[in-house]
Amino acid sequence: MSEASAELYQAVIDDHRRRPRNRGPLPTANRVATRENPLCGDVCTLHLQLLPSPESPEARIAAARFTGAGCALSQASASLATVALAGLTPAEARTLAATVESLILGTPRTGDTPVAALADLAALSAVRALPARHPCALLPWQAALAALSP
Amino acid sequence: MRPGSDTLPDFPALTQQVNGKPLVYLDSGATSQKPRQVMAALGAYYAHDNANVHRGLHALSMRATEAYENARARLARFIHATDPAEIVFTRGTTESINLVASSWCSANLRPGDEILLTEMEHHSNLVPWQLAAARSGATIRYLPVLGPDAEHGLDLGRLDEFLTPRTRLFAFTHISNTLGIVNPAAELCARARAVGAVTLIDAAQSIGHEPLDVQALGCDFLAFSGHKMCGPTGIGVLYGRRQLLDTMPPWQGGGGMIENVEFSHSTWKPAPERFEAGTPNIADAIALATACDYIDALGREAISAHDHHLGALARAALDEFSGLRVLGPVSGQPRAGMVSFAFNDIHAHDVITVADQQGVALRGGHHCNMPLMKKLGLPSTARASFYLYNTEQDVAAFAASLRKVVKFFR
Repeated sequence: MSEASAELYQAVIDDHRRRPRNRGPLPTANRVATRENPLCGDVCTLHLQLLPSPESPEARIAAARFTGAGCALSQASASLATVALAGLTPAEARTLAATVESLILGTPRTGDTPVAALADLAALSAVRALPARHPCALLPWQAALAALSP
Repeated sequence: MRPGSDTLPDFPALTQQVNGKPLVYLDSGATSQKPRQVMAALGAYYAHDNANVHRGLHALSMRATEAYENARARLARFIHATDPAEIVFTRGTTESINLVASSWCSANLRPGDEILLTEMEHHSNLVPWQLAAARSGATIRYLPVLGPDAEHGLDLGRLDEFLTPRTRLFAFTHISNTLGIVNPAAELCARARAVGAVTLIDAAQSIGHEPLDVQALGCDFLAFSGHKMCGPTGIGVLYGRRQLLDTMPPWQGGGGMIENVEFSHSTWKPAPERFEAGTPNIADAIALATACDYIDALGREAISAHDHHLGALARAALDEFSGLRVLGPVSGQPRAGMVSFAFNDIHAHDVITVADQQGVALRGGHHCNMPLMKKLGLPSTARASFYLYNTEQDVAAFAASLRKVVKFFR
């Protein structure tokens, strides 16, 4: 494995690919959205449970799971997303999704979460050098945003 | 000079490092690399002869016109057309097919008529007919592919069921870009002719790879791109039998294609000018003629044998991997110089990214063949495709890159 792919499929991404966290349906979910990329066949569904309810001003993501199929990057990104989204308010989750998007696209914006605070999610920045793979890593985050949209 | 390593000095793009490894370019099915001779022809035209064609009376314009028309004649010889007027320059295969789907179909299709395609068509030989069918009220039918991995090719046993007196046009690919299957084009054209259907061959994958003779094939139309046969991008050809082209209405209007223009109406030049509105792609047409010379100096029989040999070697190399599905002809059957495959547990995109890190350029995805992939139950495959400059060492590098893929992901 060359250094570049070692970086791309670095330990964090490979770990989430081999041992995906929160894979499988969430029967208690009250927000669900699917995004797919017909060009490569990647499909990702984000299942979110917001408590006390999606409409409540106090709402937080109590549980997040994912289903779907696709390449290593889309699956690892989905696994990472479910871990990172748990416990956030919808507004915080949207900010995080936007931050991850700018991390992948390489277009930092004011208001983004500092990279240092992203922990494992920072691994997704390795995808930046491969524009053709951006849609793979972005897919679960787009599903999350769709699930959270009112 | 023979196909293979002898040609490498002519292809500067191939002597570079990618991701720290020597480039192994196995994506010629998408576009070929270009020899120095073709690049030199482009440069020489712009440096010495650049002028607009046809309407100029000065020296440069006459030179450019002569070179452009010589290129047309060269392309006619390349595919054994009887008359240079049967060569319409287009932007490529896609535009050539769209020209027929727009012009010929508008004059010839009625509700109830049928267009016959096959299940292995590239989107470029599918979507234009869908548009034409929607405009005319005609119906599209698809000749099926056989076998779980399409390894038996087209279901020729059912051809009579699909090719009927209602069939006005039969368009099919000469070589499938996804499967590597070589279709019996001459037989398909003869069967179509027997029911009075017009034929169009998508030669995007066969041009410059196989000996190609439109007289022997017996087709009415043949479409191809220059960039897959060592030529520049943005230039291609529609071959059409002269009797057909001369009866077809224009598809784009403008300068160059008119005989006489009045405020109320215009009259058209005969083919091929009728279908070349506006300033044509002069430089790339001239350089495409140079690509014909380059290919014929090697010999298309030799190139075909070379491509098929590498395709078969690559197919055999895949036998060492478990959990791998290979599309198209089974081992031992004829295979064009390409192989598409899918690991059961490793997505094609991951395969290609890791191969790319080894310097090996593959293509992956649905190969502009979404309905076929759906039928095969695959979201995407990876493909290695070979051309005159590839070598047996390239096949070895391909296999080595897949070993890395498996080692990493399993």
